[in-house]
Amino acid sequence: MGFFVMSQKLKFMGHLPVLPIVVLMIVLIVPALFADLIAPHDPYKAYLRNRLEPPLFFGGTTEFILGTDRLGRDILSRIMHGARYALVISLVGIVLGAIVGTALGLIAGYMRGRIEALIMRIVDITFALPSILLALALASISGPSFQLVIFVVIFVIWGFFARQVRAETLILRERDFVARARVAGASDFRILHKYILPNLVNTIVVLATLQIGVVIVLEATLSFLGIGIPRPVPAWGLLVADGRQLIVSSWWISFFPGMAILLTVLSVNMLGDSLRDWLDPKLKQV
Amino acid sequence: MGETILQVKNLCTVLDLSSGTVPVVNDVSFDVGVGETLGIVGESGSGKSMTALSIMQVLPKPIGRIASGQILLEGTDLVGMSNQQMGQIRGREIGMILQDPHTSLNPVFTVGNQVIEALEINNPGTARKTLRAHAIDALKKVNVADAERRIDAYPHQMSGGMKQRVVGAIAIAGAPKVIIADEPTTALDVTIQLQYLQLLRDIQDETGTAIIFITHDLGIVANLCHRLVVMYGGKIVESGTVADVFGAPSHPYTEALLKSVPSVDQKLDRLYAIDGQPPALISDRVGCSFAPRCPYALDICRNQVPQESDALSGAKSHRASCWNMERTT
Repeated sequence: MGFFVMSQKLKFMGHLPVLPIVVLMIVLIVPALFADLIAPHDPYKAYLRNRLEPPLFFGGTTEFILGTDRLGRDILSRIMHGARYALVISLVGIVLGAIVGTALGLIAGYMRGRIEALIMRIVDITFALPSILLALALASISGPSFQLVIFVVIFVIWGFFARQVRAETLILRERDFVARARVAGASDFRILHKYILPNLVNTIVVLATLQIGVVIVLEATLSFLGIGIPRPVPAWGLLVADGRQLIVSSWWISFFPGMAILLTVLSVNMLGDSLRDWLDPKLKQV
Repeated sequence: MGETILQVKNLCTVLDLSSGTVPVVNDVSFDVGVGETLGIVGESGSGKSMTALSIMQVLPKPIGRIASGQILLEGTDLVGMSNQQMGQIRGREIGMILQDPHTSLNPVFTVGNQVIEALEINNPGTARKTLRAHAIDALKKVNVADAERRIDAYPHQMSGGMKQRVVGAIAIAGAPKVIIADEPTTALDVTIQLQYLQLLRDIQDETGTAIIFITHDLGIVANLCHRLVVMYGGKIVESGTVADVFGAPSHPYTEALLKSVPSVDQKLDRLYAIDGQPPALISDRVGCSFAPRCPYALDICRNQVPQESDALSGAKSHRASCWNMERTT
């Protein structure tokens, strides 16, 4: 086994998408972890004398490399601190969404019958329901909050996991080794937990990676609309929204946070694609 | 042959398909004693695997169900037991070996892990270390060479014969009183087949388990089994000791099966094959289900289902269901 795994790993290293990883490190991961240390300014501090300062090379100074917004806050520092929210929300949301979706997908695929029909119809309904509208409705009731964003993320992504996991469970439960476990006296719980779930790990990991991009865009959309994490937290979507009225005169306010979103989602998707090709070629169509 | 351990009485199993209810096992009765090997013979679709799945009660959900009959394990009826109660029977009382060793093991765990798991189900609460030692013993018992090292191998690193031995080790981990082997050698090559049959015989000599051996290979039946039942279209058409049935095959289907086994002493241009197809179980045919393919069929065969009666050998245990055992046409 050792050799087999090693050679597989080496093979993956050979195809390792270096550029997306480097971009992700620079834009998302390092700022998210070390924003307090590396950000040049306090993201909340308004330098009122330096309002709407353009970025370096566009008439700005090295003091504010990406310029400042209309309150004179440093855009670079705000993007760096915003990375933390993008990362935390996508991780927490995807982990919770994956747990919910996987559990319900397993139950649907294994139990079959009425439970399966019920769960899969709920999935259909969540896909049919416009998530933004739901978020707006909920926000108008409870006000925007971190919990609300997580809830909407789970709501949007659990169905993908449930569908895929159910489909693969349907195949796995008919496999001989599951039949063999059953005739050896294994309980349903044991079969799910020792025979079906371990064979689904690749699928779940790949699916989770492919969902990161979706979640980051979703979070940015919610904060852009003002129903994400409440102000004054520098979430990326909020930063884009901040520059909306000044887009003609001070384009940098919206442009750089937008670039951060773009680069992150693009890199995550490229990374997810290579991971999928390596771990689970079956998922090509997803 | 000791006392009867497993008795199947008038078992009827059906599949509820959208096109109707199909009887796949139709009024099947047989029994097997301690230390005895019973062969169940028949072509694909004759209901032999469905009989095995009925005994284990792992019929395809949700379409398969036992419609009527009894399955008595040491006098206790298994039919109607809850899934939880059957969980106590499977593995501990009745073990099963499936056909294809390449797919019967979980690809993501080592074989040792899977043997240990089977031991753990049967002896909950035993220390992991003890279980591992037991697993090595179990692998040695099924002649896995170098068991101390092989225990950490993954299924894909083993040959088919080795994997089937591991499956055997898992099946006997709970020291079952009955082992159902559903064509366990079909996926193995011939030399390994013989070794595996010898292994089953050794296990039986040592533990006295009853074996129900499902196969379509009459050579194996002659070699391994004490008695056999021949199934056709979900029914038992003939049953008896191996000597009686092979000596005086009384149902034309048994006769045809025996004829289609090539022999080294005879020169043949063409292998013998039974004309026609196995019966569609859903059709509402009256009479004997083998009649359309039977060279000896009479009018009565097409109109009335034959009753079980004494067969040609005259032995008390040898029974067959045929209107025309004397072969008048």
